[in-house]
Amino acid sequence: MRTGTFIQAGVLGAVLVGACAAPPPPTPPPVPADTTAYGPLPETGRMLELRLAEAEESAERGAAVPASRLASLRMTRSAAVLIEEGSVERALALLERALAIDGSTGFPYLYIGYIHLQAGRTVQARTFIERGAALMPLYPPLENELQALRLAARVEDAAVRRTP
Amino acid sequence: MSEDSPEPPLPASAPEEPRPAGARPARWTRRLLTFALLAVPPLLAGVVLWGWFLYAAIDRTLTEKFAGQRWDFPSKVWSDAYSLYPGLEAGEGLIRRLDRRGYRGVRDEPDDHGEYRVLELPPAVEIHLEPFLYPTHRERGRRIRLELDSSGRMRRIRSLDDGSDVYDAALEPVLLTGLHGSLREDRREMSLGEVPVPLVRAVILVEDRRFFEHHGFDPRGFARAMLANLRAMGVRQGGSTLTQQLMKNFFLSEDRTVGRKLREAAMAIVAERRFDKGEILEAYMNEIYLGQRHSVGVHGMWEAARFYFGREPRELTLGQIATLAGMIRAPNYYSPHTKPERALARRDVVLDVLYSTGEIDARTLAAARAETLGAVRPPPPPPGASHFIDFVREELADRYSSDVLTSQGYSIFTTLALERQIAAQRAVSEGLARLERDYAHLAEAGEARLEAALVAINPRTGAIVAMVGGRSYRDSQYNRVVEARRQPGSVFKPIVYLAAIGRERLGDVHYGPMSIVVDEPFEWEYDGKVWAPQNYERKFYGDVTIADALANSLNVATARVARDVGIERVRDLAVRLGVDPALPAYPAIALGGWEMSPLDVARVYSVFANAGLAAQLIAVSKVVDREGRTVEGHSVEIRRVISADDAYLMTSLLEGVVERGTARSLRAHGFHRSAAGKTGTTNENNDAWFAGYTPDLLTVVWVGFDRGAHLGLTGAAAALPIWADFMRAALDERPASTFTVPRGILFADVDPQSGGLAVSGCRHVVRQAFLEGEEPVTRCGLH
Repeated sequence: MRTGTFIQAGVLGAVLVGACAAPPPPTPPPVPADTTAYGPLPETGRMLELRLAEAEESAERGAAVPASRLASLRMTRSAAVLIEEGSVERALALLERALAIDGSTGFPYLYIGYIHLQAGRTVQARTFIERGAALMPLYPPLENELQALRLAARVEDAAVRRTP
Repeated sequence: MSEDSPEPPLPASAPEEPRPAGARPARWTRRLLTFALLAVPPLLAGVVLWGWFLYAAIDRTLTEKFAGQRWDFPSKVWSDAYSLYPGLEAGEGLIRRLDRRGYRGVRDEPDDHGEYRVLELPPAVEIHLEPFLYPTHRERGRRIRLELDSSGRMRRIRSLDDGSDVYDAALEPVLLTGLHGSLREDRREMSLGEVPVPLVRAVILVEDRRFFEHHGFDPRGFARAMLANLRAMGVRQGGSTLTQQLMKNFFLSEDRTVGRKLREAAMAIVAERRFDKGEILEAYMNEIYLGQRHSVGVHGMWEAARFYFGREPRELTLGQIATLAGMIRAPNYYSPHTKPERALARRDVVLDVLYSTGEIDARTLAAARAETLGAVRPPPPPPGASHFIDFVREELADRYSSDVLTSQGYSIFTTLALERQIAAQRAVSEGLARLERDYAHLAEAGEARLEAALVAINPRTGAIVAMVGGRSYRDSQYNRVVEARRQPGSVFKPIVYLAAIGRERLGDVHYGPMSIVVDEPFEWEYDGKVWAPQNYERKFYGDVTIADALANSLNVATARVARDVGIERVRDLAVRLGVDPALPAYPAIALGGWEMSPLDVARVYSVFANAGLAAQLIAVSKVVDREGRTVEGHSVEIRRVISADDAYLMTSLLEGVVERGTARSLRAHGFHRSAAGKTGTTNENNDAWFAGYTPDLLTVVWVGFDRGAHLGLTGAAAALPIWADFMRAALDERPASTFTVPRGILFADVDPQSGGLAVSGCRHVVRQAFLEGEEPVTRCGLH
């Protein structure tokens, strides 16, 4: 056996060993298709309830809470309920109204992105999800959900592109 | 007597003896009888044949009319709805909005749709919303209570029915216009089942009591009417049945001639053979003319019920039903709007008829007579938004023919915010008048008249909320927002600076907001030519920061930055931001030497205002057919153009323009909200621009002459005041908001002169935004 061949075999073997030893890539959590008490996006919905409760409490105490933000959050929550009930078109109209009133939180963007994702409009879904994610607080469970949304948008997009 | 002898002369004729009985008829009678036997049958056959053809022709005409779409339904163009939420101002502005929609102030709790009342203690406004069919749902007309705080802003919105909080309340869209064909008629078709039975009975009793007994033409009724007319020596009664009236309205003229009456009768007879009484009655209820709304006829009971009483037919009281039935004979003579006394008297006549025929009892009669007329104010004429409507029409013309738009009864929902449109028109009108008053040369520019254009959009959604294409649509339908191509001047400069300071760092230069650029004359050689840009009033400022160069709109410094970045890269960035790809790459574009429309400028600036995202500009949000099905819909569409960090950086620089730069007079015009913007003045001072935005609204204003006459005013002097007036009014009822700071932005207090971190000796200190990692680290070297 020639030396060169022996070296190549050794390198190949080392690569194979390394591949077996490396940890598997993390499996992204699936995008929840069923609904929960917090609507179609559980972590986002949980965060929305939290933010809304904080804002309402502050407003009750007389703190200066931007009224448009409060209104936008409430509309977004109503829209999440509509999505759960299957009134997606109405939810989208309400979310766009929420966005028109205030764009300082990511919640309207995320739910709009979710609707676009469900409808197969992946390019728009990605843009809205990215924008929404940029405005959301850094919170691991929420991050997982957002990552799942991003990946779902890319997978859908790839599937569409593969379709002849 | 021989054969040749002449015949003996005839004896003179003797008088004829009378013909004895039973003898044969005379020759002429025989001829007549023969003629009759030979000719009459064919004549009769001819008459029958002709009659049959005539019948068939009428039948065919009627069938075509009734089988297809019987009427043309104009499409209706609607404004956007007005969202109600806590934080909005609820004083005079809200009342004006309600008035504009035809709402009526009442003292007691608003029981009827379209009513409201204002309470003092505790302060509140109660509204009974109008029912409205939105594209996505039906608003059934809820009763809501807006609880106010001491400053007159909404604190909470609750349902009057169950006390629950309401978060999705809105005032319904306003009808801007109808797209009518040659027949200017408004109607909404309804089935016979939707017509209240008392209304059907009242119409029949008043107009055609024997409707169910005759077959289209009523000889008895006709004879009675003729007798009445003879006695009165004039036309007092028509004697036409409902069927005849329907035929006249569908097919014939208003001429009072025998010929027309005969045709009408013939058609009515054929119609009754072809269609049953229900179909004829239903068509009648939808066809009948019942008044005038400005230049448009009100047809059909549904439209009339809404027009006169603000109700759907099923909600009408007996008195209102009697009023409508009584109006048929002469709608404008008995109009509840203009002739209430006559309308009341005629109503009572109809009520008496209902009572005398046993339709109602005495108690019901008394109750109905005691009702007030109940007419609502005629709705105000739709506000002028003519340039915007033209814009919508042109957009729709790509997809729908004029025939479809004027006959299919689509509802076209637009993004126009009605009150903002009114504010825009007022700002333009008053702004131009003020300029002509303050600068005499503007009013004396020969045939040319000073003009302006204003367009306002929501940068997050791309919705066009106001559009004014010129000072007077009546004088000129030219829409300067879309069609005017003018040099933007300094309004283009932010694109140059974005190319230099953004994260992408187009080119080899590395600028930040506090980087120093030299504002001294220089020559730019390009394509074998030499260009020497000049500053306004030929003043030069030496070493200046990027922020100051933009704030003070220094031409030379800007040209230097554009040369350093590379004009091709500036051009490419401009196209990405939405400028026409035909934009050439030559140096003068850095100072706005290329033509754009105000809408183009709005498109570019919307990217800065919307965190680097370009929202597709939309004027039509939905088109819905008469059955409520969506024909087309446009959701918010966004695409990433630049990073949110770069967009915020640009916004902070443009805030500097407002705070201390060429737009600093904005505060003196009474506008105190967070705002970013750029003035623009072209070289010859022929165009004045201001493009500016808050977090919620972006507006571009242009002022100048159409034919390029000399304006002689800067953007700050001519366009900015109009912008300020409009934005103050447009945002008046909304709570204040601030620009959202993205994560990749840091702030530092710097000396604007040196660009270094501020020290105690610095007299002027600015809180400047920087991209993370690019904030200055050295202190001010000047103090």
